[in-house]
Amino acid sequence: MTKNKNYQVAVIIPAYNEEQTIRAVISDVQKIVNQIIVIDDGSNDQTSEIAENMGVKVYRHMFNLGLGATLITGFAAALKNKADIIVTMDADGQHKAENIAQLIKPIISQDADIVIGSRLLYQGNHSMPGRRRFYNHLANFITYLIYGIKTTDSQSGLRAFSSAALKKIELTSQRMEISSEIFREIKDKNLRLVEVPIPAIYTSYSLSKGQSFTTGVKTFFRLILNRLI
Amino acid sequence: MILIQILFIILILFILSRLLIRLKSHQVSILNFLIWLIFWIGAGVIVLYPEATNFLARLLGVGRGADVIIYFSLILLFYFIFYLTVRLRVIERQITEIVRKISLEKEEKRRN
Repeated sequence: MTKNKNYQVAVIIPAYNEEQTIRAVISDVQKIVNQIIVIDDGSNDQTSEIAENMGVKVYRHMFNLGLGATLITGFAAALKNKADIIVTMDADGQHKAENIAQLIKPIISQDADIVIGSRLLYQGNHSMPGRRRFYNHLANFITYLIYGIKTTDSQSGLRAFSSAALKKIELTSQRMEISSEIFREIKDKNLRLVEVPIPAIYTSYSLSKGQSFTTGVKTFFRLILNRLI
Repeated sequence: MILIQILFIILILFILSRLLIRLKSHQVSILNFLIWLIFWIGAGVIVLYPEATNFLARLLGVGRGADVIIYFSLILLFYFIFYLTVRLRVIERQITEIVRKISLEKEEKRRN
């Protein structure tokens, strides 16, 4: 689909102890995209080995730094590898590679600089649990309060960036606050944001890997701290 | 001298001795050493002559000199916590930078 085109798409997969799902995620993406970049955030398991054996690029943090730091490493790697469109995708298997084409469409048609795959915009059969949905609305509201950007899925892990946009934005987040920091940059750098509905697959595995209320509260305080310092 | 004064003086002398050791082993700069030296000597003076702070208390409209010291100590503590938080963030970012750089270079080497 996006192979053999005149633009290079790179998919960044941040992974921390994902040996159970990483193989399936990589082989799913390999059908569609040539350039896959796995950032192993200091896993203690076989995540890196599995990914390396599948022939994809693997960048390895020597110890665990957090999602924000991991994505930023991924962006640096993708830009180094001369990607034109950079997609981020979770390693827990909740996103499907078949949605990538739809996700990057607004960037190819130059209608957007950044695209977010929104799980709440999706009208089909999806199973975001009620509590999750509530946290998500809360996070969206906080994002609106702090940055003044209305979004339906501020915490989505499936995003696409044009390389030009990625070169403009400046990120310093360490952990989960990266999602909100991206919104700050969209606003500060006047970037065009488009949301595309995407289904998300919730398994007990991906739920155990996602954000809890406690990490949400911690993220909120780190956001405030980021504003102060 | 009352007991609490003796305890405080012993504590301050202990802190000063640690400070001196740190200066000798170059763990603290001379400027930092001097600032802390003046701070702890000042603390010692206040411990020995607590009445000296009553003047400050009257000036500021606080009841007792001892209260002024507690207020200032609290402000100082909060400042230090703030300072440490900022420093910690800076160090966290620096470590992240190093880890990122190493991960980028290593993968490139593995590929070539």
